[in-house]
Amino acid sequence: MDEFDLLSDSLPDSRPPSPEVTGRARARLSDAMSEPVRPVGSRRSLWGWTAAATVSVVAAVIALVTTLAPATAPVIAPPAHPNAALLRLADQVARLPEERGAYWRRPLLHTSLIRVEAAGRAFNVLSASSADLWQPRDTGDPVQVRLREEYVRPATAEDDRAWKAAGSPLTVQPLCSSGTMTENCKPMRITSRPSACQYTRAAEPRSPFSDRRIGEITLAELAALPADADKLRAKLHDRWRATRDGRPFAEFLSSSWTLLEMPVSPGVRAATLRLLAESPTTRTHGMTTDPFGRPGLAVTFTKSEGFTGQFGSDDEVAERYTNILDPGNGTFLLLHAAIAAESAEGLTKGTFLQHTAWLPEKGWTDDRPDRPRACKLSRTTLP
Amino acid sequence: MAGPADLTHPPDVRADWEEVFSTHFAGIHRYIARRLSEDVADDLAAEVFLAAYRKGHDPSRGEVKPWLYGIATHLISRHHRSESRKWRALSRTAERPEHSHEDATLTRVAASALTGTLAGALAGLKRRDRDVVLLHALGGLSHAEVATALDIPAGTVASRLSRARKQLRSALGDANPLEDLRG
Repeated sequence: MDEFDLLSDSLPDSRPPSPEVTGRARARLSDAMSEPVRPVGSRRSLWGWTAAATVSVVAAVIALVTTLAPATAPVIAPPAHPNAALLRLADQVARLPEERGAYWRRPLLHTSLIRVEAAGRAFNVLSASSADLWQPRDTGDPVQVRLREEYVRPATAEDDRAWKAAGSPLTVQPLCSSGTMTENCKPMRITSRPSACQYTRAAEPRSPFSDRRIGEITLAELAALPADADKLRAKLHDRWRATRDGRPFAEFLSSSWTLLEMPVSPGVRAATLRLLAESPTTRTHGMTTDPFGRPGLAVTFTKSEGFTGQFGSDDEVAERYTNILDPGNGTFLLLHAAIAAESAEGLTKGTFLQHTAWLPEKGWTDDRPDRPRACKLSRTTLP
Repeated sequence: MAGPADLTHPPDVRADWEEVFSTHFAGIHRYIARRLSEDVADDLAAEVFLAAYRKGHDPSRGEVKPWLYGIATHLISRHHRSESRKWRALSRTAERPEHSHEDATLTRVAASALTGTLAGALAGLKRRDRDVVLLHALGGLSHAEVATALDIPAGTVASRLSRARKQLRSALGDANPLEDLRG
């Protein structure tokens, strides 16, 4: 006997289902089989369903036509494109003027929601860090990257009250699931003062836009990308063949969203949006508001549901991911935002668990980066 | 139900599903009841067969039994907090209900004595590990069937079982309690 046999023998057993329970379940299945709806699922599944259900569907359609047929021949409108909103955004972006400037700036703010406790009270805090990239148009100018911890603060007014009720402690202890290593569950300091600042500043002949999803790409290559969707697809196909990473081209193509986070022209961005709109894994979820109150178009380009993450002592909270596009220019407002797909202790379904926000200063500018003050110059490349 | 579709002789769908239902309903009900409760199982077991019918069985992906247990496990996952509470509560009380099958043998008596310990260990397993363990231990599925049920590689099943076994063994004090009782 091994541990699993022991488990089987030691856990309480149950009574067999009563005849009433079995009868009800059988009746529900029987009713379902009588429904005039073809079961969804694999075409390779029991074809008999199709046969049986087709008769029902045909009967239902005849009934509908009989009762609802108009006097004149119906005009059947083509179904709306599932990603029509993305195509509309592409049309709008394509009309934007070329962007100019000496530097392209990408200021990111990464925020996580963390469950903590202090003085026996549990509440949530937001922990934020920033990464500010200044990428020059002229590769002779310095590239500057600055990383910094921004703040740790109570997440909501209610959390703020809980923190104050705990005596407004400067240090709080994250709640971690059992088995979490100590170094991954260290106390946190509540602060609104930026810290741990470091930066790099040096001319880099190579572009930093090396991306494993579509292969390394330089600023010059980005500038040479075509603004026509078909030509862009062909260009990406060439890159796919060159990468030889074994992925199907469709999967590679669905990764082209990464062009939206690079300094490409509005035309290339529009072409990218059009390619993504045709990708079978793209889902447009409509207009929404990001955690900063900015309206944007929610969209996912790859599988975005069925994930779990850790929150507090719960090691598997269901979560989904989304991105939010700027409705003005098709760049990102929010990237890889994890949202709770279920409620848990201290967490309401629908709450943002973590996200990376693009701040309003993003894009091309004629400003030049000042050396950050009170910030340590790093000798190693920053991510 | 496996095998290629014969387009010239349509199968009797109702008869097929009646057979599937008759063969597996009690087992699915028991699996759910042992993980959650009999009350929940009364409804959820029926949901399993409805979902299975609506989803459709793809013979190329294996037999019906693991497929049904996979659906049941997915539906159980919606009640994972209730399940965790159940194992934690059981770890505290460790009482077997009166209606459990009688167990006169030493093995079952010994196992019963370990209920609390094992239930506590079960509560501490990650959900994905627990699913694998309970499909195997309570559902009686082989490693290959567990892999089919959860649509994961057999190697993943083996590694999850191995990890869970270590945790269960650790909870038991790294000793074989049956040997202790017999000795």
